[in-house]
Amino acid sequence: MVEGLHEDEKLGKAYDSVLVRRIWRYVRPYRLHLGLAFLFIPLVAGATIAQPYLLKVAIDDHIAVGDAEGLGLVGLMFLGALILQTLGTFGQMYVLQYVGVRSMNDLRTHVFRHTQRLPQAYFDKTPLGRVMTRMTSDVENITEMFASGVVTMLADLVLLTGIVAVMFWIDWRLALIAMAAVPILVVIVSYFRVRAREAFRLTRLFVARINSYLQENLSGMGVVQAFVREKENARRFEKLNADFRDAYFAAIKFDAVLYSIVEMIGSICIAFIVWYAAGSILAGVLTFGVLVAFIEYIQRFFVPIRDLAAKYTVMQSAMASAERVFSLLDTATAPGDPEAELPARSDFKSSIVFDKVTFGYSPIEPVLKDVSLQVRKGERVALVGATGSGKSTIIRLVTRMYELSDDPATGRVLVDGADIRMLDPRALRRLFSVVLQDAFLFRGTLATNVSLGDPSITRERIEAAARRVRLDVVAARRPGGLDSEVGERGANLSSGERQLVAFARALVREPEILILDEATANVDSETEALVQEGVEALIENRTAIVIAHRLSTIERVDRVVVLSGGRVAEVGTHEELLKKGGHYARLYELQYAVETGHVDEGTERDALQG
Amino acid sequence: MRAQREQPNGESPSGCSPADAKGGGVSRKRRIRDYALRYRGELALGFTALIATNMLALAIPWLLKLAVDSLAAAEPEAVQDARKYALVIAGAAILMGMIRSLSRIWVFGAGRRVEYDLRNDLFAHLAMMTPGWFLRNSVGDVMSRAVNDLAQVRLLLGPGILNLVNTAVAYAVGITLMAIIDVRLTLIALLPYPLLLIWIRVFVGRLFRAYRAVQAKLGEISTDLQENLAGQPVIKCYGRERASIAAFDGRNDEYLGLSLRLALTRGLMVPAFGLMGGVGMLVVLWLGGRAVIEGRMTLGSLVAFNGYLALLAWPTIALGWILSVWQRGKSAMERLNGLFVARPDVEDTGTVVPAEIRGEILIKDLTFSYEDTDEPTLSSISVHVPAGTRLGIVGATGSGKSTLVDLLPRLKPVPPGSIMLDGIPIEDLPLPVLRSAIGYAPQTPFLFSATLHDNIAFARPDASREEVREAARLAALDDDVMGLPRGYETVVGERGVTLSGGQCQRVALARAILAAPRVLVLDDSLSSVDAETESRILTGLEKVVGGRTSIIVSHRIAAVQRCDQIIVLEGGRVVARGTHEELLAAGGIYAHLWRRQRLEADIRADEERCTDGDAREPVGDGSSIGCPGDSIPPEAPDG
Repeated sequence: MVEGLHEDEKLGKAYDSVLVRRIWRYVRPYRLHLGLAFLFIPLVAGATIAQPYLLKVAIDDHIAVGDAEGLGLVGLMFLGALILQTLGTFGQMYVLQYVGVRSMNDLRTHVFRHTQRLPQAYFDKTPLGRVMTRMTSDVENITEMFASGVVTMLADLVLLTGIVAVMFWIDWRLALIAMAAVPILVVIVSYFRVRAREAFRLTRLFVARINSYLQENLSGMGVVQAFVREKENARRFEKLNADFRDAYFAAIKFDAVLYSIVEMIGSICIAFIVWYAAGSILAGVLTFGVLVAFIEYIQRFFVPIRDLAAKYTVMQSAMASAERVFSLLDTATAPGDPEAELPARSDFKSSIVFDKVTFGYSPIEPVLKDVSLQVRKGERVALVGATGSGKSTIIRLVTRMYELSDDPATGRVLVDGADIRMLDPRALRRLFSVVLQDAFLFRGTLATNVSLGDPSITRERIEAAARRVRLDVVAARRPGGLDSEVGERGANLSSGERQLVAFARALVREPEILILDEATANVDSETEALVQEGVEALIENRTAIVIAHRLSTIERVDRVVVLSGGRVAEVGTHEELLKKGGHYARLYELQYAVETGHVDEGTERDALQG
Repeated sequence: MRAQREQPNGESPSGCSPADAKGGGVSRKRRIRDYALRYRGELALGFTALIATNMLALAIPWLLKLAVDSLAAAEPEAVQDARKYALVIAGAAILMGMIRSLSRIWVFGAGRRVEYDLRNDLFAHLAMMTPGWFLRNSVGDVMSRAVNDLAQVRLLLGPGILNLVNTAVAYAVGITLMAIIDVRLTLIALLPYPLLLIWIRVFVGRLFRAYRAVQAKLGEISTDLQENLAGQPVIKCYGRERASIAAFDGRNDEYLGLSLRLALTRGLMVPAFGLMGGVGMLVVLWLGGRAVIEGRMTLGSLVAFNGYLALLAWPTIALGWILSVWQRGKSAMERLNGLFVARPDVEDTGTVVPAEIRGEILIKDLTFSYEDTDEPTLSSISVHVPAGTRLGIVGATGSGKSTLVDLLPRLKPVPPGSIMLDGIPIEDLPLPVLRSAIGYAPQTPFLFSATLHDNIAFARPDASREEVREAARLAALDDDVMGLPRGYETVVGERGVTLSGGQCQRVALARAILAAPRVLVLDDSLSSVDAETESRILTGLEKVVGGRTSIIVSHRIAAVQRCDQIIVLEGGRVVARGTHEELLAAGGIYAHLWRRQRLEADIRADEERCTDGDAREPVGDGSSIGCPGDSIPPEAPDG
């Protein structure tokens, strides 16, 4: 029944020394605070234990002998113990949480910094939600361990030990009787605790199933309805729901019995004491004060024992989360230090060379096969070919979004004669402005999307770049112009408008080399005209590598490289290649048909684009 | 009780009988009370047990008082009397333990049952909503209500109610017994209570607000994070890592500040418990002690008094918590009602049940526009598809093809009278009848996290293995499946094996085939399958289709060229219609497309000659890993 356990639901050890040592690295800076929390432990335990004892003193030494004066003093001491206990508990709670929040904040920051170093390949393979969970709920789970985990367990243990010690010190025989029930309690509690924990674990598993079933059905409601599966799926949902409910019934039973038994045993202990005290008090070997103090102690004894189970679960889930967080931190990073100052921009002197490059995303499937090509300074080159022909891969390699280092990669990519693997990737990337096919926009304004928050890019430069790529037309249409709001992923802009923003972003940096992956999505004819003007502005007087889908773009470049199945099929100018009547000529004819005929996205995509 | 005030529309209670509310398929407000009343038996038992438990708990200090008093009086029978009381205490403890277990089982159980019912009703209700509704209302938001708000309501009905009854009984009985012992002492001991109550109330409010602020900030961090991770290519290309780290650090620091404030509030909250019990004890010690010395009170009464104060401490603390649980539960129910009152775009009002469906489709002057647009998506479409014939639909993206085929099974609201099936307006047919008649394979397939067998047998869960295989064979999927180690038992989707886009589409097609409908609708459902396989599948389908009506939407002419009639859509209008030959002869878009696709086929042939393998590039976004794969599994909230 428990097969298919999801990664995020596993619960295992409550303590793992390797993980704890790794967590310790983040706690270490706050070790003084942690030490302070430990100092509070005996203080709180002492103040708590003192109270019943003071009650005993009050009854035996003052009330029993009729000394009202002394009672006032004992009362004051009692008040003092009370205040100490309150302050101590507060201090302990706060300091522990302080350490937890601070150190886990550091951990979160560390994880974030790590993600900024991860290679693009990692993001292409991993669902974003998983990475996000590591940094949010998993880190939260570990934080919770500080508030109600290992240190509080220790505090409870100290308190329990203290209570037992004081009871034996006051009257060891009575203490033995009071403790007589403890072994029974331990057996019963551990029996039910294990079962309650297992039952609660099952409920977590079931609730996760219910929620993913629900999510899936809501997302796929169209299919559910089209195939008239509402009833059947509701039935299955009810089944999952019933499993969850029944698992909870079991958990409730164990929990209720555990809760009640602990309380029951406490009261039975009191009954034992009263039974024993009856004889002893009359015999004069026991005082009323001791009896009352013992009753008080017993009431304080059982609650921490009961709460141990909950704390154990907190520890377990913290360990499971820590394991996941650290495994993310163990993921290999890409070269380069993203936290260092951005390297100064160097000049692009001569050429970019692909020297017999073979590369694939998986070892068995090379995407580029023995590709050699050269782009000289000032030259504008268009890459043309069908989907999967390797155009985008060339861009990913030259910008080192993917590294030409893993099997089955061979060959070299050279910039100005230097193997790019020898360069700092961020210094390399400073040569380029890259416009990707899917123009990714961030929340903010049009202007911040152009500058990307770079303070060295002045408002004037943003405005100038916007004018050159015709983003000014888009800005003029919106309230606030360049300062108009951009929603999440630029959802409030059309795809053509988003491209213009990406153009301005690229141009404002006046790059040495421009890399453009033309978008395939259709844009309305008005925006299309703007985009064409924008492309022209981008590649004007500049070294450029363009994955071209527009005839207008191809006609503007110096050289066309036709890729087919990961190999360079043809190279030449537009006219030369047309004359040759080969692969390119066919592609051109197709493109021509597209531009004169009516556009159909599906077909278009299959033809020229990728 | 509070829940009674929630009556929204003065509906008579008889309208909410369990049988009626069980249906879940009605758009109306639900009330917590109605759900709770279904389990009035459990709740009544639970409350009785709770009262009994509290009585027994309150009896123990009194028994102690009796024992101490008899010992203090040093009567001749004192030892026997005190031991008798000890036995009664033990008996009461055992009884109390048993009854308390039962009370918790009954009350918490009732809460879970209500949660179960509410969740089922919610599912049944949501199952009536059209796919468009989920787009408008965001699955994430609906999920958050179904998970978090439901948990809040359950918290109200389980622990919330339990502690409320506990507190009420403890206060009523406890204070009475204390007053019997000593009225003056009782009043003085309870003097700080109102003050402490206010204090706790304020702190619970602050705690809740601090918690909400932390959660909201965490939400912001998540949004930032999501954006940052999705925008990694841009961030890397432009070397903006440092800036995004700085931005993250800023947010994280804000989060840190809020978290520390929460920690402070939490820290102040907890010691209140100790203080509460302690203050009472202090009063007993000072004033009670004096009273015993002056002979106005017995030592036993002092002990009992002390015991009662200890018993009252927890209910007082709990009161603040109960109030906040009650508030949150109520507003959670309101948010759930926001879902429950939603009316489906498409209502199942049809009553005509034909004996047999032949599959004749008549679309008559159909004009359709989406709510948020002025431009109609479809304008005056008229098509007649005789039973057993094939209709091909060709057109550009955005020409309205998908909207048109979505209207057939009424996945979108259809203008009345504009589409007929066998001469009956489709809105007059019950939805299950209409939809069972239509097998629909959408362009974007949706696979469930289940085995391939279950995914294909979606419309007919009872289908045999052989039937499933046969459907898969027709969809050219069987070979692929048999290549998988677990074959048809392979789990796909979110938590399983990831299939290619084309395989997903073929699963969806097999699903539609197995449904054995009278009308088969393929909405460009083989767009990710290569042309040869597509034509092989379509030829295979023709053979088995028999008298079935087929509607084939495709961007490939080859897929529709053998249809009995083909319509060409542009801008929501039919711009050309006829057979393949007629349309070719007429020239226009259709002929253009045809010429272009012939060229494409030539180019592909070229490619194959110079390619030794079919290499794929990864797509730039991590979310495109699996075909249904962009949904993130929800985190399991703790129960």
